[in-house]
Amino acid sequence: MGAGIAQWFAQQMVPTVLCDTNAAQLSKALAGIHASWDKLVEKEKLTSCQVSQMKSLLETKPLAAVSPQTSLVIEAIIEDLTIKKSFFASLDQQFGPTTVFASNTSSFPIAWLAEAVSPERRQRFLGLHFFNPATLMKLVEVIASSQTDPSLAQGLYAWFEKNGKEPALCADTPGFIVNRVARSFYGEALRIVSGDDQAQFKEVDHLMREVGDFKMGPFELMDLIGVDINYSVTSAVWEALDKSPRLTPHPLQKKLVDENRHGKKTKRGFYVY
Amino acid sequence: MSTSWVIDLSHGTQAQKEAFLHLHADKNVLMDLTCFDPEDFYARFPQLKGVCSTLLSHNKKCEVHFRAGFESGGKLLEEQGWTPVMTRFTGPGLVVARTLATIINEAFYTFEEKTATQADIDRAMRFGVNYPRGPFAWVHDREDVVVMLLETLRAKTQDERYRPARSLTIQK
Repeated sequence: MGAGIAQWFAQQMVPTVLCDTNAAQLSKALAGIHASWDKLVEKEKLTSCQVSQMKSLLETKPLAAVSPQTSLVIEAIIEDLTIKKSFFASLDQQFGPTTVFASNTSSFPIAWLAEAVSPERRQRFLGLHFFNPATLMKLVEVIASSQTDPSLAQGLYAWFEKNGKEPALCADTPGFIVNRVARSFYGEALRIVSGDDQAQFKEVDHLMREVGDFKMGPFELMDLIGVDINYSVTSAVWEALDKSPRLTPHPLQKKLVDENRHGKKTKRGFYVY
Repeated sequence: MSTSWVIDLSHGTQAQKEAFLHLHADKNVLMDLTCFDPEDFYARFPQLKGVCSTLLSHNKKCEVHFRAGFESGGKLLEEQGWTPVMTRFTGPGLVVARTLATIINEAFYTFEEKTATQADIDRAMRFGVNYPRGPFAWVHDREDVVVMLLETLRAKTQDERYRPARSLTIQK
């Protein structure tokens, strides 16, 4: 997801550096971004002059070569708490005192990640949760922990708003906004059906699209996201919110995960592909 | 089958709904039961031939269920400007209102725990997961509908999952 975030920043004409420990992956990401911009020129959504400027603003380089005076570093690495904390501890050594650190985490409290940096840096540490694909989805959750300087969060909120995003300011709570409130969309659908029955999944999806005006129904969306990922997010939010009955994972989700029915990616989920 | 139809789309209490059904015992009744348990009403009132859910709709489309052989009652909804969409589910709130009620309830819990403002929660759900409208915009002045539906679900399932948020109940 880091590539999408970097692409969006460059599109706002912000000098941006995209880093990855894997050089081949980094070249591939940059080629993908350039190809996407070239396509936008063909479609006349961007001018070649704009794209040329964006290309010059987006660099790739090893992390160690990035300037210590960089104003903002956004981490979008694997969702593993130990790895993320160790990464932030090393960033804290590399960057100057004014650099703001942000995590794109969808599941860990920002305060836990901020423990890895110096007490001074914690005021300049927050969550910036983008949604995939970052160039198209307008939401950015701006997450302030109890130690984040409130004016920093407010300032970034205003900056994103000015630059075409639809930011939402939220406290450092489990699932933030979207990953918490959206749980009921899936959880209730699972309780409406009486079992593992495709005809019922299909009817619920149809009703949510046709009557509810949702772009996708809950079962087809779970299959697209990945039933395993959806189950894992549900379980994490449920655990973090003291196992609230409102967020209890459903046994049918667990059954599908155990049967390797993870959705479109395994060709079987609630539906067969 | 030649019995005439009457339709009730009001947001009434259980007693008002029952009184309407008693009053029209010799008719075919199509009734909005968004806040109540259609299975319970079907069992007690043979004149009830169809149930629908209109109270949380913003697009003049509604779910409707009919007893077998009474599907022609859908035209009553069409005459009132509604587009009926058939469902086989007969639990409280049918499918859409039931799902919306739980989304709205979680949004109110999230708000009252000071995670975010109502405006930011609405914005997050619209622009993060493409919901057609945010939970607070959806409920606007229909908090009482959501609370009644959640209480019906809670009574029926004995599941605290459906306990309404305090901030939702005090907005009634």
